[in-house]
Amino acid sequence: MEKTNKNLIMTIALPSGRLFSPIIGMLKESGYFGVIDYDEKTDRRLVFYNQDETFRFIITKPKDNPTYVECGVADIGIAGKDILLEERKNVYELLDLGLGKCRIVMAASRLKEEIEKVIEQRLPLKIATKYPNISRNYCIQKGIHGEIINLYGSIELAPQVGLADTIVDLVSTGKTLQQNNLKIIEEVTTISARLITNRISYKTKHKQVHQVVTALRKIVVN
Amino acid sequence: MNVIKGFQDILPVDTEKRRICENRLKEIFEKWGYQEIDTPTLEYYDFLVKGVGPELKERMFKLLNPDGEVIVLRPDMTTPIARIAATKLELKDKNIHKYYYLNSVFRKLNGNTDDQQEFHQAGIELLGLNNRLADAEVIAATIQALINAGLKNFYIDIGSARFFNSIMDKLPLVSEHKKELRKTIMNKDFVLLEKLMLLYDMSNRDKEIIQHLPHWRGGEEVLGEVEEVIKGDNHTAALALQDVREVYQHLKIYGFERYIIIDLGIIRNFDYYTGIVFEGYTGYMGSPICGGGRYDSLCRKFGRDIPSTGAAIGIEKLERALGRQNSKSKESLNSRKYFIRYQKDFIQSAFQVAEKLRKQGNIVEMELDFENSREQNINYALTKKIRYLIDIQSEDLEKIIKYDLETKQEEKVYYGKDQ
Repeated sequence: MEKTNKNLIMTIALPSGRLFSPIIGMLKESGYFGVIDYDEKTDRRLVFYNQDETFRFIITKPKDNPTYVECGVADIGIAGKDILLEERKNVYELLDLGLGKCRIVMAASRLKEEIEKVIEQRLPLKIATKYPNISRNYCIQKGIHGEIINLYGSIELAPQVGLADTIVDLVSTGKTLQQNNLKIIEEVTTISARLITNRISYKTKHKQVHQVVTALRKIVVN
Repeated sequence: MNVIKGFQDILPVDTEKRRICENRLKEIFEKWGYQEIDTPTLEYYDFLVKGVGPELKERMFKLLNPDGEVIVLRPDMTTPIARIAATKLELKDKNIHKYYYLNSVFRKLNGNTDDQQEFHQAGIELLGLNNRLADAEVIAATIQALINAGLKNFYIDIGSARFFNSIMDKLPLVSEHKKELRKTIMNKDFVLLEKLMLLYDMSNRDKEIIQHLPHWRGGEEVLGEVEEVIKGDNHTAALALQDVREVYQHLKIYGFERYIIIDLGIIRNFDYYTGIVFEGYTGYMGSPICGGGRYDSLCRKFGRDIPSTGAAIGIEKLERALGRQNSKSKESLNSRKYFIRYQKDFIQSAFQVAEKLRKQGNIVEMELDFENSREQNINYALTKKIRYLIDIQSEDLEKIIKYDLETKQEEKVYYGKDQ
């Protein structure tokens, strides 16, 4: 059952996964939220509060985070720019948190020149990706005749077995690409985690939202 | 899946609520002198497209009719009404027209989680006048309608499309950069906005204004602050602020001050707005419940210049807000609803009682299946929010038992001839 608390200022949606730990770290370091009693290793709660119960935190799947914010059940959320570009939810980006920095690139096992020739001659280019919208936009921008193949994971496999000519995927260290003999053709965009809010919380809690932005801005490492 | 995504079957339990909600909005519109108008569901693409901006154009459902012409499902009501006004109305110099509508409109999904492709709007349009009193009336009628529908704790933000446009026009940027900046401010992408501020060659003052824009929110005092920053070197912007002040003061006289917030950062999605714009919202909802504003150049696109202003309320959104607000209150049984249980032999008496109750304005259902037990009758009655069960066990209309399902009390009632 939803708990109602008079002191509650707002609900913040945090993404589970690799960003969770650094985000909790940032929240604690900012000092703005008081004592946050949550042990990432042992805690399994999906809803928790800071000590004086002024902030409620909920933990979402990273990809679902903007959905919770967009619908208004969370006032603020944190989502990777890749998810924001792909899902195109109606949310406002407040702050680049500088976390989870990586790139979305187009990569291929064939030579860069070969792929460029295909693009130049407007021949169909098969692109395997879990970012169909980002890929489609990229193709439109670059005038690529792209045929997008939507996959859910292990994208690097596709060019090796001939399912696709190239992939569009997230890269942080480049190790996976290297081990699968893939080379970067071009960078599509750079990615990092963003603090987001919805249209209505931005109005009804304008001051509070900006206090959170200011508190976190101070400790963002760029 | 036998229903198209974003389209909905609406079953009686919801239609009843919807009619109540719609009637309450309609009641206010009619009391304020607005008359109902209806337009075709389908329109010619080539004609309608003159009025809708790029955002809506992309989201229209396009079809081919048997003659091979492209037709569209109406994406809003304002554009067709502007078409009617510009092509059909006898508009003499000072004529004004006040219309309201309750209708469904169709738009392709925009990625929003809870959006419908077919959704319902209740709205008003005031055509033929360009003054602040007209702007204020449309907003006031909208507020009154929302109150009448039972909505509590909502706010209306008012801003000005003219103000925003005049700020953008004054910027010394190439049109491509202006477009990018406009889009960024509209999407409230503050991360990109910061980058653009570094990238574009603008004076510090212009940058200050752009960065302030989303934060100019609050009561009447905000207008003074903004005037201070603009400092008279943007005449159009100053006039736009004066407009906002005037509308605010009118609404104050209406007694609606507590609903109004000035927000100069509002940028509505539709291109046709030229003056005062507004949107209404309540907490826990991610998007506005209603919105509107002045669109003086829309009718011109259909051939005649008619200054206009209007508002639209999203019925589905209003229903969701009301549902959320009333979730704790228990729904009571409807005291105008009766169910008549009777023995087969007494069907004539049962008919008489039913007709009598119906004439008094009640909703009366009669037993249609004599195999049902009293228990089953009661269960059925409860699912349909029926409050009273009438039990007829003899021809004698003086010996009828009326059972109240709410209080669980029985009483003897007389349904014979009027004395």
